[in-house]
Amino acid sequence: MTIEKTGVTLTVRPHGNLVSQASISFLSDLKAQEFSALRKLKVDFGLVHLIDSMGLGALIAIHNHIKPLGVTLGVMRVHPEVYKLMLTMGLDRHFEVTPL
Amino acid sequence: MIGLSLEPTLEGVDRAFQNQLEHLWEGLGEKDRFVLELILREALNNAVLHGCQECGGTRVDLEYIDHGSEFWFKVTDNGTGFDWKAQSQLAPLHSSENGRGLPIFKAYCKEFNYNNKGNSLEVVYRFQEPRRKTK
Repeated sequence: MTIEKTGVTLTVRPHGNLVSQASISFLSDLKAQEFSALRKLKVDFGLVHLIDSMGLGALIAIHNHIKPLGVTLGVMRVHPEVYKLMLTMGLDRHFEVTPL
Repeated sequence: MIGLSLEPTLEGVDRAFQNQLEHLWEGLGEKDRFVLELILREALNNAVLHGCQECGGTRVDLEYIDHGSEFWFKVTDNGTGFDWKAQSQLAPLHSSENGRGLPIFKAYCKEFNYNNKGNSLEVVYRFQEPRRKTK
């Protein structure tokens, strides 16, 4: 995963699918970031071709973590099948989900 | 029918997809590949997390048959059993970090059934795209 900070925005790019063990590492790495000076967390899903319920749960967990800090989450460049799954599971009710 | 036993850990599930299950994707379209891996992972992860880590199981077995138009599989663990009846009555809390496994089966599978004990799940998935012939 690469992490880039620009102004008040933190952009993270997972380098592979967000499933099983990778979801746990993703959440752990993100929770270790300092969010106090940020306003936006962008997750670039361009390299994520599969996500499972653990990955979906990790996104909800990071959303729940940053929301009280005044930081909003956006998941961008989401592949079509991953996008459909996110909408089916209602994740777009919590944060911005943008298709590829 | 093909059967295999997996190491009952999330790493074991990942290793099975890397080393033992790759042939399943041959000839599948993008959507079918996505859904089949998704539902297999959900079933196997549930067996590891609920059947083994929470309910004392020590092994996870996968059996499957590719019927061409449909794919049948069964995942069994030797734990004391998952209370799927109670879980299936709950609407997923949208802000909850868990509880999306059964809604995924409902959204994508033709059929899915737990046994009464709750340690064995059978799933039928109907392929949605034409299969490409493979060598």
